[in-house]
Amino acid sequence: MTDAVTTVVSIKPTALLRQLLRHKLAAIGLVIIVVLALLTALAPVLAPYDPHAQDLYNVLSGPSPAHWLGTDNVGRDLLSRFLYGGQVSLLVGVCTIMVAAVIGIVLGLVAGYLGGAIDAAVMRITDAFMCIPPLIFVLIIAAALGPGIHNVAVAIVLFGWTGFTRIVRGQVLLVRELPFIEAARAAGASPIRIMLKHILPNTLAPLLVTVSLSIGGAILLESAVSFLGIGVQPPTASWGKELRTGLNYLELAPLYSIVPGLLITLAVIACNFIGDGLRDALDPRLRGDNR
Amino acid sequence: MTRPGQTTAPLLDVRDLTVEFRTSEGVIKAASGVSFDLNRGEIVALVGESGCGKSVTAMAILRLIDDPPGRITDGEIHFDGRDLLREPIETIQAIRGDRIAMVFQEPMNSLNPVHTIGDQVLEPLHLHKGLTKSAALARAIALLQSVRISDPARRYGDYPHQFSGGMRQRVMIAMGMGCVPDIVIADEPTTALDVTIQAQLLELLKEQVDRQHTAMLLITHNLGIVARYADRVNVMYAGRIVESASADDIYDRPSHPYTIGLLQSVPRLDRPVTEKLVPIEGQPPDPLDLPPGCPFQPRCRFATDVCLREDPPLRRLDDTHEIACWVDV
Repeated sequence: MTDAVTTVVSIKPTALLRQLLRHKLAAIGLVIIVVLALLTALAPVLAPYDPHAQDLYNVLSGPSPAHWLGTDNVGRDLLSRFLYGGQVSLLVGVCTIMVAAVIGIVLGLVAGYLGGAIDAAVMRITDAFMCIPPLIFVLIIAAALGPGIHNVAVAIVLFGWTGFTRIVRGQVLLVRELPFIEAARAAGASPIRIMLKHILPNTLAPLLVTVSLSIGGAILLESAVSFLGIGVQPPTASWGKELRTGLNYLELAPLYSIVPGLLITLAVIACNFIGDGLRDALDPRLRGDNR
Repeated sequence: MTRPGQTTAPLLDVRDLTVEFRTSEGVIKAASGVSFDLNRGEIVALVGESGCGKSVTAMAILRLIDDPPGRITDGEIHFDGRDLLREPIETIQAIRGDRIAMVFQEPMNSLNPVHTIGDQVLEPLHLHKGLTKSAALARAIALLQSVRISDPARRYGDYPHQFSGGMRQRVMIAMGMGCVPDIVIADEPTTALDVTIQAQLLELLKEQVDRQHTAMLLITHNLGIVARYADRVNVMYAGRIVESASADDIYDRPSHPYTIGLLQSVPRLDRPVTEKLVPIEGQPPDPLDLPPGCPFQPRCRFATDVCLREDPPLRRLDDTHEIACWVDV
């Protein structure tokens, strides 16, 4: 590792993956996420039924060989709906965080590198956004834009960039004072090149941790909003929405709400495990502990 | 060494360079009225203790002083028919690393930990010469070879943490030399290294300078290095040049009390071992609160009334020897 600067860590993808797999919780998280991702991505192949096909003669039936997890209140196959519903939940979680991360990185780089009034302006806006509790924020935005999964995604992005901005800015402030940045300037590199090639890669370590933790948060947020009825609109399925509808029939068909609840929990826990594992793998001070 | 009969303008001509830093406690003049020049094939040293303004002077040449808090408030730096202080920053960017290269003092942190050695050696070439990929690879290997990195074809893909301090500093030299610059500014190039490695690196730098007929501005506090490698020496104190002479003159006929003090405070091989080392009493002045008159006056054994009142300008002792002192020691 670097000698004097413990906060700047070089990342080699293969080495990182190896460390992650050695971290027990992170390995479990990785397996869970991969399995969930594969199951939902392959939903069109795996799902035994069309998730929208109703069978009104066969509503809220318990588990049976024909319907492994039973059917919902209009006779749709629950297993199929959960598989398809996962597409919405996971995709929203990943995509919103990716977009939010890009926005946050750009703003953080600009604020940290340019400093001065621009820095102050960006960070005050960030602070203002961070004052608002996430669920309230997303509810307000979604209510203002109208219900629907796209608007929820927009709301999560609008809320999510702040964390990345703060982390990237902090890291930029640290890295920009290091001698190799001066050396890059002395070699004739332009400010943009210095930001993208010399500073950005050095901010990746804490960024990766935040991305993985935030994806879990975003999945949870989407589920919460869908649970409250503002997210995905019928007939589309999502884990949060199935959980909410299933709640009405908890005594008749407990799996209707228990399974999506479990899936949400699994996905979020897996993201957090990976985040913790990344943090440990990327923090030289923790290396060699608790393995 | 100024060659006899040489009439062409110097390669780099620094005139009255003044750099100020605005701090919350006041304005610090890190360099005031610094003037010197540098000819092709020549090694000029800037010598002085920490905080005397030698690094600031070097940074100012490439306009690397951060503003705020720093500002170049006065002076001219002539290079290649242009005044570097009045060119747009894009021009300076094109000169940095290509025509004037810098080798930094901290080999441990002067390489970016996330890029390979090869990539970093090629950075200036990539920026200024736009090499193709295959040509670049061959060039990187040749450059690493020229600074005697063993097995460069394999080490090319290594990361900085896999290199020792001395090797990293050699990589820095290779980076600096990549574009065959006219001037190399070496800012304490050997500070963090042990003595044998220091010698190797300086030989290497000198060899590169000789081979490419480059000029070098060597910034150091180590008089031993100066004696061996520099042609001309500028001794700095409190942001100004107090003595400027050929390296031989500095050792044989030091004329400024500060230079004399410096030389008496380091052990020398050409003097009897029994000779006592004499420290310079006192501390360097607070840059926010310079003493009246000559800045060295409070520590000077020869100080007179005029020293307390007026700051001495540089005056000529002979063709190549100048001092800023009222007293003839």
